[in-house]
Amino acid sequence: MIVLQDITKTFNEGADNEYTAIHGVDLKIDADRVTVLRGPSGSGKTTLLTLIGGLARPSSGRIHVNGREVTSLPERFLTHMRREVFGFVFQSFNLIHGLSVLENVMIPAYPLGGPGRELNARAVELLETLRIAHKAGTEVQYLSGGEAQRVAIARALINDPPILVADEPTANLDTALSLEFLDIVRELRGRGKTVVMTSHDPMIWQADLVDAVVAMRDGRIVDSGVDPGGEGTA
Amino acid sequence: MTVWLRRQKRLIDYTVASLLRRAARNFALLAVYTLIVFVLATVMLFTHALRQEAMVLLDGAPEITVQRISMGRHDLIPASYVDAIADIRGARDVRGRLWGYFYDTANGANYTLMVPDGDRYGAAPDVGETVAGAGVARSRGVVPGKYLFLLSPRAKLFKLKLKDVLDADSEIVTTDLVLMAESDFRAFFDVAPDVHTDIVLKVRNPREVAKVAEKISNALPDCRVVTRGDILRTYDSVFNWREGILLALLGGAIFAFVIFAWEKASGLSAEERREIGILKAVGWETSDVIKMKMWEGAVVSLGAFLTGYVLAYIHVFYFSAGLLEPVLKGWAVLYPRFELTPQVDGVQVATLLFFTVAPYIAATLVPIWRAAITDPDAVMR
Amino acid sequence: MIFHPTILALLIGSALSSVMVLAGAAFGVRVLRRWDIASGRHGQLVLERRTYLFSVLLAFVMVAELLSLLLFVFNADRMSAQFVGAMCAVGTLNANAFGFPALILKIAVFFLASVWLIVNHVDNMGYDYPLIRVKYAMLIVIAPVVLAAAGVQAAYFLDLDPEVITSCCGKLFTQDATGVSAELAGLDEKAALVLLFGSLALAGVVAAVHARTGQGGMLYGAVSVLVFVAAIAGIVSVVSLYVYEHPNHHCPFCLLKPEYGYFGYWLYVPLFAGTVLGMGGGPIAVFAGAPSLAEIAPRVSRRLVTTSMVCLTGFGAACAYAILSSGLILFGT
Ligand SMILES: Nc1ncnc2c1ncn2[C@@H]1O[C@H](COP(=O)(O)OP(=O)(O)O)[C@@H](O)[C@H]1O
Ligand SMILES: [Mg+2]
Repeated sequence: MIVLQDITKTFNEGADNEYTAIHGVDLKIDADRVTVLRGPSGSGKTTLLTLIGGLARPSSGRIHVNGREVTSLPERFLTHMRREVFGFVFQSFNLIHGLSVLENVMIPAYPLGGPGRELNARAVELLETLRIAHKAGTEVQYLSGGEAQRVAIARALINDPPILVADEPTANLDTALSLEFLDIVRELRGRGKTVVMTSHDPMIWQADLVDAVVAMRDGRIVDSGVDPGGEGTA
Repeated sequence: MTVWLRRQKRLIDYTVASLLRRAARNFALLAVYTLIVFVLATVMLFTHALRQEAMVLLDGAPEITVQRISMGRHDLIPASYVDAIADIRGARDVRGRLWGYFYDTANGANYTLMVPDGDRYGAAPDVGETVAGAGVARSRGVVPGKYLFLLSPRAKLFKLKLKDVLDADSEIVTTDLVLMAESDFRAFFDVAPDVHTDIVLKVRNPREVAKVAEKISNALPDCRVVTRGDILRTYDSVFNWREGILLALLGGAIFAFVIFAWEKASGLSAEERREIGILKAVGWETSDVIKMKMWEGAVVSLGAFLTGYVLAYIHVFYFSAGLLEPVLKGWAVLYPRFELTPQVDGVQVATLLFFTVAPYIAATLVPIWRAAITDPDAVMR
Repeated sequence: MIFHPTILALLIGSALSSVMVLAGAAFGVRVLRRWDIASGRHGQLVLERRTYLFSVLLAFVMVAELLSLLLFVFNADRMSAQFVGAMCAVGTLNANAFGFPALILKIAVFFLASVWLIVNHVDNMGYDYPLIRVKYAMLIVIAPVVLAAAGVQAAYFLDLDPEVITSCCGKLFTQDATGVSAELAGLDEKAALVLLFGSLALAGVVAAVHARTGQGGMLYGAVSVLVFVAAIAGIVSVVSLYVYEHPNHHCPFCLLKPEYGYFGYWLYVPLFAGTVLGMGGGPIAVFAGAPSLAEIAPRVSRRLVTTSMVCLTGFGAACAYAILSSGLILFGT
């Protein structure tokens, strides 16, 4: 479970272009659920997601992940916690060009120094479950959008984190591929993973597998209800 | 420990792959780096080899050499001086030597003609016989039993039977030697019977060398007394000085290289920046990125160092440092031979590391750190 | 001054180290004044990121100083040909008053930088930078030593004069000379051996207690310094005699030469490694007081002390081998 208490994020603190993107947010995200952050563009969804996932630190407030206070952790330990707990799927996938699919998937595990054979087997297995194993040797810049996303998901899961974080996962996909993505999320949820994602796509937050939809506007939470589709306007 | 090793291996694999991916971009750096190592290594290998040659030559040299100086020039020394020196306490084995250089018009080579002294070169040749260095025998196409013909400075033809050839491998300095009997030598150069080229002696107690030398120069004021230590020190300091000056001049080049390396390391392409951002976002820690980049520096350095050093080695020992000849000409006067014996010296390699790799690594530390602290959330924007 | 590439290299190396350590000390002052891990301020974040830079810089300094120490000794040996009276490194170092002080300072810098890295390593394992102040206070103390080493080394090289007649190991390490080196050489052989093996045995006892109970880390740190001093005294006064098989050749440097089968490496590598690990590894046990290191510090300390003891045992074995296999008999049977 992730608990956010009075979280504020201010960019460029003290400079002329100082901007507060998140204002005093309190939020609880339950384990083993699928939570969606929704809201118009610029409402702070991505920013909040980076704070939840430990990619950035809040300017004030506290975040607890599985009961542990993480905001004051030094960078080194924040990173250790992050790679144990979170897997990230980025909006633009962010695969490393010039490397093969397999290599991209294994990259997050490199600093852990586990046995190579095991790592390789795990990566191949993940690619198989995501039905992309036939492209294992392809360099990632030659993949289509849907394929790239599946590679990104495999990479996010390589260290077997309990929580998957995804930013606008369907923004670059057509409807058919979006539905396929939802199938993958369903499967992950079935395996007991927690999923947190942002989306301004109704198809996502109205999907029946979503447990909670958090609505945001101007850096504040306007609705943190658990009834999906309850508030039908964006 | 195995975890640590495996992690380093992964980081190295990753860095090698990314170097290869950007081979074109990295090529310029590698080329300049290699060139710097090559030039410095050439200078150092060359001077070191010269110094070693000189040492080998001097190793068999007598403890004290006495030369007569007349009108500021080296002159023949009267045999009576031998007795005068033998009377000095501590002097031992005082002997007059006969040797000289001879330019062979037949093939344009320089020989050292010498009356052997002791049994350093085996049994001394009898009158009418000679023992020659391998180089002489080869260039003149003479084999033992055949005759070596030499035209003396007075244009008299000498016919010497080659008794033996000095072993080519045992001592590099013997290759241009022509040994002959005393009477042949005197006749060849037309030297009077009561003079020598110089006088050499040993000293019973090595600690008294300086004292004996002083006594000789007091007793024979027209003579110059040279100890082996003097020669060694002169050679050494002359070589060191020359080498040091050259390196100081090359310091400018090293400095330029350091600036270049700094530039290269700081000026990451957008692509590289993105890549580091991704690594940080997917769970690499700042120190992982730093280590990966340090490995990159190590791989580049190793590549440049080995290539540069090997090329310099080939250049110096197989091509007699041909490219540096105009710069190094002064040395040739000091020591005319150019067949250098391959030498690799640990101190020298370490010195070269300090001149090339240490500045390179130092110049890239700050840029590497800068790149490594990229915010992990940068890729979300 | 003697203009020589290796001298230039050594001067460049210590100049680089000095600049880096000075920058580190300046940063240390900022850390001591402003560090506040609980703060989410931008300034704190910047400070935290800088710590990565200084870890790397200090690692560079340590590697550079180790190489530089080796190069300094070998160069001194090489340059002995240029001084009347010098047969090995001792003669060159003795050519002016700065030689041996430079050597001692360089050894000190190497030890201090290594100990700093050990403390840094432990600090990085605690989740709240438990030793950050200790670490940077240490750096502020180390900086003057690095500068002094660089300065004295520069003075030594600038003051070198090939005309000077120096004295070498044969003269310096004899009973009838004066000075520390002579005192070392003049040490009674039996007493020196007792001191050497006694201090090793003491280290063994302290290490055993430490391994069992976790107590005595600080003491082990002190004992490893004692071992180092006793070892150098022992090498100069007795062990060297056995290696050279000569009753009066007391030289700590000639041991490294090929004539003696590079035996010196079997002595110095384990000795230096053991001393460094002991000096750093023992005292870190006291950091168990920090909550985030309560479990880590004793574990790391135990491991380092054990490794240190293995190295020192190796050193002792090498000494014993030198004595037993030697043709020289110093003590009547
Ligand atoms: N690094 C940054 N520096 C300055 N402003 C930023 C930064 N990142 C985001 N913002 C601003 O914060 C606001 C929220 O952005 P974001 O979280 O990306 O919104 P969303 O994901 O909901 O579209 C935007 O106005 C954006 O311009
Ligand atoms: Mg967004």
